[in-house]
Amino acid sequence: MEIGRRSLTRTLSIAATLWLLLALVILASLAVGAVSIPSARFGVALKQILTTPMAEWSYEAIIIWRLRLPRVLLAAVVGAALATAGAVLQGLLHNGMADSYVLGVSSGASLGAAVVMLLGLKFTFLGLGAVAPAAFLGAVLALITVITIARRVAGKSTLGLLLAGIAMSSFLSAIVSLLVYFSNEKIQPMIFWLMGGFSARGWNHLLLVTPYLVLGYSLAFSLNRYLTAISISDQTAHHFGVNVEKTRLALLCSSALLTAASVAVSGVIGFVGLMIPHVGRMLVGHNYRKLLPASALLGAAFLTAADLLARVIVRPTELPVGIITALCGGPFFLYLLAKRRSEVL
Amino acid sequence: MNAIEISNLNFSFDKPVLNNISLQLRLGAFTGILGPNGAGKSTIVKILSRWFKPQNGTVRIKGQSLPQLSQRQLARLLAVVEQDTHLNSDISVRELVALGRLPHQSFFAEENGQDRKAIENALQTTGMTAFASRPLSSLSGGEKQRARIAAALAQQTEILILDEPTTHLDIKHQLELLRLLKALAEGGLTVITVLHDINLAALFCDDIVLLSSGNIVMTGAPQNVLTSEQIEAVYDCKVTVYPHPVYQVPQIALLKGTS
Repeated sequence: MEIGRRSLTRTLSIAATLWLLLALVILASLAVGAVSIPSARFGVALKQILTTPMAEWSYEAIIIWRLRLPRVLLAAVVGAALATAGAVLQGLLHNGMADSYVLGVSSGASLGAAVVMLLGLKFTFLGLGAVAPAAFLGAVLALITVITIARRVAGKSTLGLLLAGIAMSSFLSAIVSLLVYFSNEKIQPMIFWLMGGFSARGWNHLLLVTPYLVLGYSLAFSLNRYLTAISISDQTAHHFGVNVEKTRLALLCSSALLTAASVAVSGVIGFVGLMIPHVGRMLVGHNYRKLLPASALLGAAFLTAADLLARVIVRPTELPVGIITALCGGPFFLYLLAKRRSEVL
Repeated sequence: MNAIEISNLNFSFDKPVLNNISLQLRLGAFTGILGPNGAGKSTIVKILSRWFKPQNGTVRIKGQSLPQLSQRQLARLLAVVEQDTHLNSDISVRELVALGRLPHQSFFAEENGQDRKAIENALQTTGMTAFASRPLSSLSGGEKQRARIAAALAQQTEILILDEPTTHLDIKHQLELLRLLKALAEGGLTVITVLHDINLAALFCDDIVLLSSGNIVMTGAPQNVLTSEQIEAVYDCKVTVYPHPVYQVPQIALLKGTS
């Protein structure tokens, strides 16, 4: 069929462009940092990493491998996770302004993580630290509370959901600040983490979150057709034979998992989940089969680029990356709010 | 076997909506459900689609007890086009129609040849083939309604239920839609639709179900159900009923006074 083939070609070329964009952003991020590496030596270093044993590497290769690569990859997977979580929440709640940050899910996760960090719990859960599971618990509780209150108070109105989310977010952030305030000896790393960002993150952080992110993304993607149906309306999905309640629960867990794992390693980074799915819809449309991978790739490229900016703007020190995402996301949020009256989403 | 068998069904939502109704709808017929606002027409549709759960009574779809069917099984038996389809998402027509295949697809299965054929057929039957790649937001009200019906047809059920599908359409598009439904019924599909326009219902439907404040007043052929006494009693307004000059079916003309 002619239409089918043309749309397949278009989809594949968009996919190729997004992967290329991500690869370029990652390469640029590897090349730039506190230690300047001339482009000729950068090429040599990359070649060493790929072809020779570590003992023979130059110090540039070691810097790239030990310091820059894990950090850059972490920014990419967290960006992908936050964008996916936002896309899922927007479809599920029929609300283009939904996102883990706006709905207080990130704050819930940060409270869960902060409690465990302060208690200094060292036990492991499925071989992983206790921080991520605690963040997941906080995220789920915050999400369910916000959705329940918004439903009860305002039915399905956008305003009710946003207000409940903002109130929840402020309240939970205040508790986190209170916890930090009363725990002076552990304050330094906590504040570091609270500000949100990827500085001094290494391979262990990447290994800690990747399983959660893979699980969360796989869960969302495996339900992509049901999510597309629900994003039209709950009743329509029901008529197409979708068990709406169960699917919604699974998808809420998926977005909470993606948010929680992200917050556990990089603190609260706002607005990625709000903005990126809109860009994704402009590129590939509203079908979640395409929108989820597109959002993940765009989110990865965006947050990696934001982290790059955060490192170079005030060199030799760095900005928390959350400042960059909020500088883009705040105006975007207001733009959506202003535009919303005339549009469905 | 009947398409739908309802017996002693009660449903209340703060106050009673359906009072102990019993109803049989024939397989292969084009049935119109009529009645004033608040009579319980949409509630019946929502109970049949299991969006609402009745307090008591039994409902059978093609002989099978409704509560015992999974949502998937139900979606293979009957397709439902909800009232005033409010589409939050802007997928393409083809993507919407493809969702009609969900009840036939296993969890990880890709779209297969059978799915593609059902989608093509549904698009063709509704005259939407040329619109396949258009986003829903670019469609007119009538086109949107046809796209939604195409998705229901892709479910390949024996029963199609619609809740006021002609609302918001002008007379040309109302007629177009009812002609489509009539053709589907003549092709063997059981079509059950809630309608507001009594004259259009009389023109197209084989059977009429007349509802009034949660009770079934009468079911049967239009000429038996649509009498002036019955309509005046149910709608509380004065009418005269006359035979259609071309098709002889009953038509109503409104009178200015009250009953």
